Amino acid sequence: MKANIIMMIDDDQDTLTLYQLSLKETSFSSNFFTYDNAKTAIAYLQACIEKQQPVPTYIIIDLNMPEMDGFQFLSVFEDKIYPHMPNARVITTTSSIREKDKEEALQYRSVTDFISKPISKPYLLKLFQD
Amino acid sequence: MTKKTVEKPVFFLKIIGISATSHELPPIKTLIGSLPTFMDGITLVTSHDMGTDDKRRLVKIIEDETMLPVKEVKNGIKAEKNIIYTTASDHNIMIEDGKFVLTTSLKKAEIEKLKTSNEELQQRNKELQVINAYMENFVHAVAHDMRSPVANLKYLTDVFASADTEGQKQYLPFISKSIEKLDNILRGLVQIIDIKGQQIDAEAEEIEIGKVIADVVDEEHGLIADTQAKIIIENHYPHKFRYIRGYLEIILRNLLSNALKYRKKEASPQINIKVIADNRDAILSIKDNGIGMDLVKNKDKLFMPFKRFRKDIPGLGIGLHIIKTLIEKNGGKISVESEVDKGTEFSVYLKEF
Repeated sequence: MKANIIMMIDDDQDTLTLYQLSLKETSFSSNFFTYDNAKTAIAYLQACIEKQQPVPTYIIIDLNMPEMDGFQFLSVFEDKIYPHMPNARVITTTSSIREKDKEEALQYRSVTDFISKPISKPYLLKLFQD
Repeated sequence: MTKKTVEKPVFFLKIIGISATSHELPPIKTLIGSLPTFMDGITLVTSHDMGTDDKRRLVKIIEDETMLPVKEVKNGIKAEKNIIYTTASDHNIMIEDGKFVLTTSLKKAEIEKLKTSNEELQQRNKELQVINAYMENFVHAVAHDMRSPVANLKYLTDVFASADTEGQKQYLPFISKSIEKLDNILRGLVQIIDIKGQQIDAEAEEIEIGKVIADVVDEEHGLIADTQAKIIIENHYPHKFRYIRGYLEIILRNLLSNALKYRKKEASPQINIKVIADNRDAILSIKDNGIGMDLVKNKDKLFMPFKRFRKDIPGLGIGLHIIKTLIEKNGGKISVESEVDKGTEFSVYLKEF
């Protein structure tokens, strides 16, 4: 079975490096890539679609980021990109525990889950294989 | 967190209405013009012979014209033409030619006093609301910033347990990084709390702005010499300034050390400190030729606690937050202009205490 591709977007570089490191010894490390800001992630996805390259199945995004936050990403993503990659699923994460954020995030049709940080390794491993 | 608010006092005005000519109800608005506007309600005292319909009409007119609710209607007085009714209440109705004239026995000075105390309470209430909102934002920001390293630590314990010795070694730097982040936040909090404690004892005094600037610049002489910085001070504030010396020192120290800290590597820093007067207020500007910053990206977060934009330059991320709190304490303002690679200028509008 082919493993899913997972894209993680978080402004905290330490978090991203830590996840990369923890997947290094697994067979999924080449299917996992990260972006430290939402704007370049959008640009990357657009380029993938134009060049008809494989797109991620899961996008894990931190809601609280400077410049373009998770919600702004979701608006642009659903408007411009989601129609071209309708199988994608977005998982939102946050370090805050506000109920309001959860409700708002789950209103986006591409969002399938809302997770208070950290995302656990077993959860992540499952995403590669479902 | 408990919310502190001050109850507004309740004032009732007693209007005494008499149906001397019960079909000609009074033009109350012209009379009400002199009423204190901060009243919360009206007690209407009518004459014994006023009919129910007339009472209702009078209530409606009073409510419409005063915009105050009539809370109580009672029978109280006898109708007689052209007689001033003096009652034990503060307000009396006089009838002239069958029309009502309202008088008030509250002396003008008393009304002014009530007004002032009410305004003071409202002002205090506003201040408390600002403090409440600030505390909520602050607690949220701190909690959010602490959650980030804690989340990383949680994940680390997760993966650490199943890693071999080699793998565990790789995770160690992440553990110390997360702990360092938490430690920085806690140290920052201690500093903020220390400063807030000082604010309570701090007293305003007549100070020489130029002298305080010279003292603060002198404190930094080591770094100034090391970096070969040129400090140009222009003080155009003509008299003594009534302010809390400790605050001004903290403000200057922060802005000066930032100007030195965020200097360009290739050029020695030049820092212009200028003070001008706006009546009694002082406008202080500190301009540098340092690395500058992208304000489009960072303006919202610049004065928020624990926000840092340069991870390569050490700092706690609380200096600007603290000085903004101090400056705004008595209605002052701080603003910033900056351009990447050109420099930064902070302008501080200081109000006298």
